[in-house]
Amino acid sequence: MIRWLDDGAINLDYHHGQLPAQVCTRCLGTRNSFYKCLQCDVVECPHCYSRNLAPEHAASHLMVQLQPSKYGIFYTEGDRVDPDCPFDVALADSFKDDDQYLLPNEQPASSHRRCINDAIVPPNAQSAYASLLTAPAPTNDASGSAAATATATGTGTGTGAAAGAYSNVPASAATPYALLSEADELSDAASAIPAAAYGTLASRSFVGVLDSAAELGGYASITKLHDEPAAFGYGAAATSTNTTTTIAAISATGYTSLADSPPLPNDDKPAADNAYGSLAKAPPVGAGAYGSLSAVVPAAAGAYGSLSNAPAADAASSTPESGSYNAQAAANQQASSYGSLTAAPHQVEPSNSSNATSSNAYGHSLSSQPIDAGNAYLPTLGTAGNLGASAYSASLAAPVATTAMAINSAIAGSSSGTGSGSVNWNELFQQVAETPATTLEAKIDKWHRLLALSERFESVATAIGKQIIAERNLPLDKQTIKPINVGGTAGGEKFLSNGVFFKVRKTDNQPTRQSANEPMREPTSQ
Amino acid sequence: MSGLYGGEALAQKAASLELKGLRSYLEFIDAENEHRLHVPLMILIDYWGYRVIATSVLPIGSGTLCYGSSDAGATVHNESPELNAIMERAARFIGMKGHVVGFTQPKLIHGPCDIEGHLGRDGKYYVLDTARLYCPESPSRFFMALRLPADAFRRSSV
Repeated sequence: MIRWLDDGAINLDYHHGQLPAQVCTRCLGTRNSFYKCLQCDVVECPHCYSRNLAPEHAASHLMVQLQPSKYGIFYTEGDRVDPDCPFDVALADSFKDDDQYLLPNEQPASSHRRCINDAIVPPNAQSAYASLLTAPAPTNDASGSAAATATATGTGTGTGAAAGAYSNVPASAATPYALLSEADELSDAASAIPAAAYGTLASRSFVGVLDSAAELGGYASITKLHDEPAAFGYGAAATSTNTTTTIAAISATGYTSLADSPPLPNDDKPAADNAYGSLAKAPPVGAGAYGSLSAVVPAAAGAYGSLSNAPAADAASSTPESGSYNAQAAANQQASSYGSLTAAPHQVEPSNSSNATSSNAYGHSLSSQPIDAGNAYLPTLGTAGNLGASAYSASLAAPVATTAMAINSAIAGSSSGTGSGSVNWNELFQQVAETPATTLEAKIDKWHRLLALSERFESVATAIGKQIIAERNLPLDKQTIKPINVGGTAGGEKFLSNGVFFKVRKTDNQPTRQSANEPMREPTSQ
Repeated sequence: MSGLYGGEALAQKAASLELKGLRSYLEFIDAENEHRLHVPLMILIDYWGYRVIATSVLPIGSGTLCYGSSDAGATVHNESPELNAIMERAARFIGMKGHVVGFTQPKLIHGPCDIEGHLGRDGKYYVLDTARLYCPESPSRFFMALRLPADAFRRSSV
């Protein structure tokens, strides 16, 4: 389990991925890598530590190896490794020296710690909790419901019938959520969040341009942690009965499982100390936003996809003036997960989608085009043109968990729903690239989107590119992807497929037969 | 040895340079917060000893070119003052001066002669064909030359 060292005496030189030099208590050598005793001031270099020069000390005190990271100094407790946490000692060691995800000129000179620096984020800086912490307190005016005040500080078992999404969040929203990260049980779970959140950043797909884009945002070196589909799915963990795991999954699944989650250990604490407990006791279906959440069908496509499937009628009846969602969303410009939640009602009311556009936290429209009601985050198949774009613009409002799915759906929809099979990659890319990201969670969201998009672009382009290369010596009529003439000389032969433009060097020593029956001609010289 | 680049090896270097050039502009966009300029998605695909450039299709066409040249310098464009200023700033960021290019009507271009800056149909400026962005060392032919590495400009300009 990753633990963060709260030691102001050690100033981290994270730019160089190194701990500041310390003097070994045993050999008096100065080292950048060392073990520190959590009980006393003993510092040992790895050499002395391995030799166990002070066995009586080692037997009674806990020595931990300190590691630098971008966010501070952490250490791992080997005897408390959470089997579900990917940041266990073994894995951390495994990618510590794994520099294959860095370009040669990006590799730090003296160590390979940069991947760790960027990959490990302390619990209080993660997207889910950070967004909760920064979520502004709801205003009753915005929610348009006086009942919101009444239920604001309740345990969640109150009626909350007419309350909007935010009205169930205590007015002092920051307090319970801040306490959340301080609770022992929850802080463990919170530590597991990077597994899910950063797992999606896992595979290096910031190829080429995106490498640079990611670097500029500071996330270039987020390293490969997981290949599991769960990194995108999040769904499997939600069914776990383990409290810790479930809590971690809740944050990943967008709280859909809150209603089903087991009681939290601190359930008997006052409501202000038990924000999630109150969420777990959300009002029943139809009684408000969280009630709607509890009605989400788990099998639906993704957590937030499910949100969009939340019963529209109930939401509308409980909030007759659905404008409360508008105002609430507007009051929550920074919201990420909540922003999506508040935007959900617009999905089922296409006429309001323009309002959602301006108030959405991601700065992009839920859609400038009508979205299929009840299926907001999925592509509207069969619409001519910009299929991928429309689907993805919907998904831009979706939080991280569904972005990849939405992109996949967009691409799948465009390839199956239209004859052209064209995806407007550029529009998708520019939409994501132009998304303003000033806060940490916004940046994380943005790079999640970039990653999902780039992964899809990479997979599609690579498959087609390989096919082009494999067929480049075939006669023209045998080639499944035929070159196009768009001008230009130095670029070589041009191909266009699935919205991707390919340039291959034109080889004039390849056969230039127009058909298989035509005899081979000698190559022409330039 | 055949082809424009005299073989596969040099052609692959040209493809790699195109990506490097694009990265430089992307760095400029982010560093200078110049979000009027856009770049396409691009990856290089190496397979069976060949290299393919894959980019996203841009909303550009024959009438959208407003900077550089798409016909190897026969006609050179720099009609858009806005894009001219952006490209000048980009060149300054990269560490290069402008130079006059073109065969018929020479014009001042900050970058290679055959760079292309387009005002796309979506109203955004796009830059592409950046393979020859970086300055050459004493070229033997006008399109073939060793190119100075990108970092050399950056180091020399700071």
